[in-house]
Amino acid sequence: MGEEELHQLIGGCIRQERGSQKMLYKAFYGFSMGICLRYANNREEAAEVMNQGFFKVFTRIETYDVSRPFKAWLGKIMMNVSIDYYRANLKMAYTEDLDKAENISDGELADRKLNYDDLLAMIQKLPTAYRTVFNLFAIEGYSHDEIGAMLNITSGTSKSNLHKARQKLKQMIFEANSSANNTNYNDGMGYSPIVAINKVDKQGVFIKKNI
Amino acid sequence: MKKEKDEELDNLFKKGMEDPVGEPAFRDSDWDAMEQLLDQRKRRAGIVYWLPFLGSAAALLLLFLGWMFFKPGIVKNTKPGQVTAIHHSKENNGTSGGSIQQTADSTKIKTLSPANYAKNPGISGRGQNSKSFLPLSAGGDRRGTTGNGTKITAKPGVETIAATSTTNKPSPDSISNRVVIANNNVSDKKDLAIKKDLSAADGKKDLSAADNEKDFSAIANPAKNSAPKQKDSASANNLATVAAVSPLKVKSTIQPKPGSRPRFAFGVLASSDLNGVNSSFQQSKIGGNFGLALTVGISKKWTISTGASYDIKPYLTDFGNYHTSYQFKTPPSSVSANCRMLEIPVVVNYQVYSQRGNKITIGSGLSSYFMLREDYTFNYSNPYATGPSGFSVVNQNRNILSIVNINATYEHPINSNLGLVIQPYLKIPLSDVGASQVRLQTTGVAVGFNWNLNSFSKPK
Repeated sequence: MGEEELHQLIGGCIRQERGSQKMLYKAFYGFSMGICLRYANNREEAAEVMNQGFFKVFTRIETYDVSRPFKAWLGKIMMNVSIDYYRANLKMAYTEDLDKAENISDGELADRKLNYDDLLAMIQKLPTAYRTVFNLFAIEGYSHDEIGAMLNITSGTSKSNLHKARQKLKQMIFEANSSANNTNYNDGMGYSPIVAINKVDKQGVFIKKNI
Repeated sequence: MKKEKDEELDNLFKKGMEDPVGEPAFRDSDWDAMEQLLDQRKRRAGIVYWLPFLGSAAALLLLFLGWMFFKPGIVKNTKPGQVTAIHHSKENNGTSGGSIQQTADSTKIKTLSPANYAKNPGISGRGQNSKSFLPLSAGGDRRGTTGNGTKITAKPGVETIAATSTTNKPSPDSISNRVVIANNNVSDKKDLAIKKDLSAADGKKDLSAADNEKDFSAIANPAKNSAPKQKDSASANNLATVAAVSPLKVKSTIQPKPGSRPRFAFGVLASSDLNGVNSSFQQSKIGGNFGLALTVGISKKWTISTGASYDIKPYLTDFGNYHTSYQFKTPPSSVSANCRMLEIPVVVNYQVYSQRGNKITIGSGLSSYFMLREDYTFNYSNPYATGPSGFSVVNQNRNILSIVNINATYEHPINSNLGLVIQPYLKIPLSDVGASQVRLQTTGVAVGFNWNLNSFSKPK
């Protein structure tokens, strides 16, 4: 999409023209959904979070500074909406054993070519707290201090969560390598706390939806 | 080495996630949901645009009702048979005090001694009405007392009508309480706004003439008030205009119409309380609250209080009282909670005792809880149990007007503006509170200060 066309669409959105809104939505759907999927548990939740993000975009489009890249502004909104959506569960603590993950050797990471869907599935398998910190640190590039401020946690918690996220991801990659044809990363691992936590997550979402 | 491997892992995911080929394809159903969201906002916006108008209308209605409710009692002298004037002559500055006169027409003046007046209570100069309104006294319980014990007590908000003063004419018994009534019907209690205790000829002087002058000089007309003829007599110059006079102390049949006005008080309160679940304080924990309160007096004894307070409510409860859809592999034995909430009470208070500024009121009302943060910690009896150790919820729950708030308040005055407040209270929920849906009840004592806002604007 050219710069000129983007500005026209933004102008239409400022005038609350539904056609312009839809075109902008379609143009940046993939980009926005890509961000939200990384923070969400699944596609449905990601779509809900993304729509909340676009809702903010359409209602606050006047505040967009045209001298700055629109994609960066949009991406930041999607990230913030995603964090807010799962904020209630970000401090959920877990009492699970990471011994298995600690035993993963570092050399096994690149044994198998992992595509987007594989990597996304692994990230979505992470508990919300770990996933959020991993996204912010490894993919968005924020420091632990910045993450601590954004999530209202200490930088120590951020580091700890990142470490645990990495261990879990390594564990999943190890599993993927050991059973290349099997994409079920839970087989034989017994992540009962994760399964349980997802239920709690959904409870939190349910409460939020009812407000 | 480990750091490099970590970075390698991070890069693996970073590159994989940024791969544009993997971006999800557009779904019409998502746009449909988006449109619903936008349409919903339009409907809400419509309501929002009306809110200022609705709010203004409500405010105007409240103002009108408030004015109707709190308007001071004004005496309109449009009917015959009303007190028309009370006047104290400036020139009556002798030791006996001054005189008070009522008249609408100096030609109708009649002068009576208290004894004479008692015999002629219905005396009046009918057919004349004064139209000038002047305040007698608006200060609380001010007393205007003429010499020789002629005492007049006026309540705040009383308005009387001044007319021309008349010449003094001492009565034969040397107590010249001059009573001048124009168009006065003493028996018409409804129209009279002055409660007067008239004590004539008791030989006491409650206030000096100067005091009387201060109270009544605003309505004096010294030009027409001739000099007293018997200055040497201590009681020669007392003129009193009354509605009913008795030789002894007489309580007038005239009933006051008190001038009410809204009373406001601003309070700052802090409290420490016990929080328990399910009618039990056995496992209670101590919490704390601090907040602000605004009290509006709607009558002498009834007040309405509201405000906002920040509550910290920790509590411990058995896991059986904790509600969750989450299926615990090993159920915790108990749950420790720490809730932060904003509380907005609406309480109606009734004053049951008031003596020398010390007041005791009892209040009852409803509170709303807006849960700001709920932190739950699960306590396992088995130290090796696996499962979530905690759960946090932020800004997700509220209980609107569903907590019964019962309190008693003792207020001790520190000065005319400030009062010390001690308030024991009990809060019982009508509905389950918070994400854990527990019956969280609270009892405690609040201590604080009340600032009487009306002291800034005492009536003149």
